[in-house]
Amino acid sequence: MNNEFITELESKGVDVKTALARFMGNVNIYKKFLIKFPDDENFKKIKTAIDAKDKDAAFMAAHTVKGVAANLGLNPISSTVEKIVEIFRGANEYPNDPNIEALYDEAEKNYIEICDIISKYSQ
Amino acid sequence: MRNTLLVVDDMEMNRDILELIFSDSYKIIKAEDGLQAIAMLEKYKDEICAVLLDIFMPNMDGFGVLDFMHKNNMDSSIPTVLITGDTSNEVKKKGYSMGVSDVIEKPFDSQIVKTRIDNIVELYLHKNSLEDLVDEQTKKIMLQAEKINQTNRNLWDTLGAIVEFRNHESGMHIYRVREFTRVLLASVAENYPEYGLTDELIDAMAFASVMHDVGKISVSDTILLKPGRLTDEEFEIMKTHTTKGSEIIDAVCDTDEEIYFKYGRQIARSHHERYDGRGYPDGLTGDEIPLCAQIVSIADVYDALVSERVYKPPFTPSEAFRMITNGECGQFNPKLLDCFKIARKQFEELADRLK
Repeated sequence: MNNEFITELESKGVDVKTALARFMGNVNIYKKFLIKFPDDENFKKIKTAIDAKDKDAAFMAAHTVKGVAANLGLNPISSTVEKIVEIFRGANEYPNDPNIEALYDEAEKNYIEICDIISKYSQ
Repeated sequence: MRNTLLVVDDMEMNRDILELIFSDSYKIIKAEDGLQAIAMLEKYKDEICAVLLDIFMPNMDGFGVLDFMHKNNMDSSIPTVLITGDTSNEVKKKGYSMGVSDVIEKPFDSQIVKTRIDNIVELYLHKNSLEDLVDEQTKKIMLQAEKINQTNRNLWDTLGAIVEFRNHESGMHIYRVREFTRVLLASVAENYPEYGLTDELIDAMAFASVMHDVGKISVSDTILLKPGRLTDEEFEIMKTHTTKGSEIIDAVCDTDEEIYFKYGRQIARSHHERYDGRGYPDGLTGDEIPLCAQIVSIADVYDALVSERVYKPPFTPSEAFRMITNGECGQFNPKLLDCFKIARKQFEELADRLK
């Protein structure tokens, strides 16, 4: 994992230092899971579930993305997705919250930017 | 020594991070859902030192695993730590109420997780080893109690034998009386359950029977060893072996805490009493005479009849049976005579075997 990769991630607000400490300083395994991140289907599932007004699927997908992103230090994604998780937590019916779309758009913007960096350094 | 950490999480990344943290200190086994976790718990329950458990998983969730551990008594020796991405208090409260040792939220700081888990594992290893130690000590104490019990019995047998050797007999009389006593007690237990004779009581009474003649140690040789019938005056002295016997036992132990002593004292004092009040030393009647003494007295009379004495030849077992049941040797408790009649064959076999 070269310094430019790390610098670019940090410029987007990724907390590489804390995440690496979580992986006990093992750069290879950290990188392995970073590279897998764009392939994970759960982020797309959030959108699919919101479009389908499926509150349970939205909660589960967002919950999973939040956990993975937080572990990897991808804070711009995890902090926004966490707000989506809280909107859906324990909801008995689909929540009538006008912020859902905007939060998703913000998360998606950060998701795309970060995934682009990861893809660039994946080869 | 437990040294295996079971990591249960459906996310590969979480399992790998925990493995990175703990692989230096523990052997790591991993499960991807609750069902795999309980299969591993069953297989490695004696090696697992802690379970790191995610909550939301397919097939069976973390609460299902906690439930399984509780039902199988694994939670007392294996600590569980919830590692959850769900930060709601509901999950934490439910986890604690189901006995988890700690709840750690994801994303976590690896150093802190390592320290917390290490502490919990150490605490449980200590607790388990203390419990093992208590079990071991308890076993030792039980063994020692059994040894003391055996020593007591040996001492009593020795005391009984000393008295009998002074009587120039072989020690077989007390042994035979003990076995006749045991046979009669078994018959009473079977036919009159209202006496409440347990195996433990039967054993204690049979062993205490060896003390029945201990008071003879205080009777002078000229009377004790006199060939031929005693004068009335001599017989009065001979009769004191009952009261002397209970005094000797009192001198050794003045409480009834140990049932051997209680029965031994009753037997020594009252084994010459008769049901109609015509026995000695106290002229007790009926059930004033302790049960153990009533039983030993039948066994003692039976053995005296079938044995040779300086003043008489041995009677045959059937003559002895007749003399006891028809009252020639004094009145006995009719219920005990019933039991004696029922056990007649065993008495005769025993008399034949122990001749």
